[in-house]
Amino acid sequence: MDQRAWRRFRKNKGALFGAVLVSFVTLTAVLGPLLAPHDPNEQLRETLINDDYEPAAPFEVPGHWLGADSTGRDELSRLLHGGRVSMMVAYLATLLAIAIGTLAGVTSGYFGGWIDFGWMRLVDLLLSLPFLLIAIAIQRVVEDPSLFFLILLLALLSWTTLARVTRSKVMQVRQLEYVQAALALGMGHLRILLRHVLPNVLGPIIVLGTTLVARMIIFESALSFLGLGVDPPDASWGSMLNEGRQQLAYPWLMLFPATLIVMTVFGFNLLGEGLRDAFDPKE
Amino acid sequence: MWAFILRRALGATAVVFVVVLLVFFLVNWVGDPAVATLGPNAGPEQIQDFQRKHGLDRPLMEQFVSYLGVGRCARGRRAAAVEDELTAAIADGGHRVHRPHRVGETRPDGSAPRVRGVLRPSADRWALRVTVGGRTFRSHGNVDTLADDIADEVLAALEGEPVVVVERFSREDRCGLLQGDLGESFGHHEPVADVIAQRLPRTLLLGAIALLLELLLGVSIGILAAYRRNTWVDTGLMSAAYLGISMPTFVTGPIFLAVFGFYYGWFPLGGYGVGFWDHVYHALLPGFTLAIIGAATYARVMRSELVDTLRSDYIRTAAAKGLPTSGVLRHAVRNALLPIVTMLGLSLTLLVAGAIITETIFGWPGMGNLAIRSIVNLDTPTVMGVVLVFAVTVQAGNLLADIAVALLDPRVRLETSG
Repeated sequence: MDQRAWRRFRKNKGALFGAVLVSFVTLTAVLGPLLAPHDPNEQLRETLINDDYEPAAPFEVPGHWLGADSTGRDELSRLLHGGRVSMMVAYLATLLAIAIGTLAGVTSGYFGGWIDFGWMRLVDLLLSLPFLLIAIAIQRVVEDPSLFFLILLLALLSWTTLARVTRSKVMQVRQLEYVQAALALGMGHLRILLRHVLPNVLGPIIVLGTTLVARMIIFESALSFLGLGVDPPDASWGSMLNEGRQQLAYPWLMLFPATLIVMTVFGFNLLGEGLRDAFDPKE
Repeated sequence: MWAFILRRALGATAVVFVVVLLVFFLVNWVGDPAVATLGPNAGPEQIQDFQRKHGLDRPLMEQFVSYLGVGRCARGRRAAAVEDELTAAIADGGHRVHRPHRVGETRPDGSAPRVRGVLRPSADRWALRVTVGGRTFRSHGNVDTLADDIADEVLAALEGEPVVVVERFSREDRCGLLQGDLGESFGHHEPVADVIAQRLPRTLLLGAIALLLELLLGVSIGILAAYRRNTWVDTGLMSAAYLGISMPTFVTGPIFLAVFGFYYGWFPLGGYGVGFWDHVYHALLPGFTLAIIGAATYARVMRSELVDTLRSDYIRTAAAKGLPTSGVLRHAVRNALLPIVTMLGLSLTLLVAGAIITETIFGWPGMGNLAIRSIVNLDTPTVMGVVLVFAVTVQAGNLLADIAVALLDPRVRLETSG
């Protein structure tokens, strides 16, 4: 990010707010286990379930400030651990999606022809596949779906938009005089791609990547919400939300994970938008 | 223009075909539908029966070809299985395999009785016509119940009837995807087309309500924000819209259900209701849930387009000429609506995808619910039918969006026809 872009970014309050939200969520995810006051899967029935079999509400029991879920597990600890899973999956899946999407976009935009045709038809196809259904179907086969598998699925789902945007940007860059000059001078394709093309598309990739993290969090939560993400007793925000919605008498079980999901997605969206305005000011 | 539409339509068809192909093999790779349908306690014989009846014992490629309807008919195979059953029954001395105890009689002269039976499709159902002597018996229904419901009559007529003729089942049947036939659901025991015909209108109703709310909310919020641009109203509305984009349906859905359904009791806690207006009432909350993201998107697009348009020369001229604000706004809004129109196709895609989760949350018995249920139960024909409908919807939405863009923006037309 050059000086001017950075200055524009700093002046954008929304973007800064997004950056704060993102750093906060990322930090808590990284430090989660250290910050969590209790074991997230330990059922503290003695202290956190009262005589009417009701879980502790927020601020009811000292030391368990966010209350407990219906089996007496400390809500704060579960949220911290759950966020860690969601964030890790989202970040890794985004990185993988960026890798595939950039490769596809750059090669198809630069070389055109059959390479372009092939990549773009693949994109068309992936965009029309019912991924949620495929995820459910595969869940049946894979007895113990690892997080790696989830990451792979998320990445496969979302590299397509990135590829399209990168492709159109590369097609513009390709026509620029210095690229044509480099070609005329006999510079190799690989060097042209790395030295001249890639730096030009880095901006859009960073912007899209940021909003992609938001979409990954949504998708991971959606899968967990449908009971397809992490396996119990482990939790992610999506699965906690799903548990919470079945116990409307204890609204905090739904509200905490819901707030965190929205906050995170909101943060990444704001940050992404701010970065776009910073890189590519329209007004 | 027509060449462009034709080319895009061909591309869309190809994509739908590949989606159908991939999902077909994927679903069959996932597990054995026979085991999933019959349950873990089914014996090997039952499973074999089921597989034979539905043609699942054939190689996958053959199954796919017959699903498409280019090769031997899959349902012809199933009908053939019924025919085999009849033949076996007759060879057995007139016994129906299902109920041998009902007709144990051997012919008085000891000769093998013969049954004249013709199986042929009538409309979308099968009909079995059995002629015994001079009398004809007709059975209507799907293949599962076929023959069973007239068995008693036929068998009663068989008594004392010395000669019954068996005629080979005719294969003039038309079935498979290319004939507009989606096969028969394992779980519902009726044609997939019927199941979908029942579910699709519900999802369409939900989608229509969501789309209406999206446009209504999105456009009016966008106009208000643009009209009051750079005031606190604008900032507030746009922040709200931005937050709205960040709120997935599985977050808003349960919260709305809890607040407006559970605590206030203004809306039902889910389900579909009885009668059209009751359906609409039941669809309001899930429809609103589905609409939020779209409404927020439309509001943002509408505002930015309208702000741009309001800055343009002709609007300034109109205002300078003394046209009242409402008139100026009307001119500008009409222009700013164009990008909204081109976005409608995309909306369709999002509504289809959103339907799965929203319908799960609100217990809305539509396509999304059917999709989840059929994939969990490995009801292969239903899964394929749902996937086909989804794929066609998405492709049609994209195609319409492309055509709208091409119609409204001459530059695009030039590029694509070049």
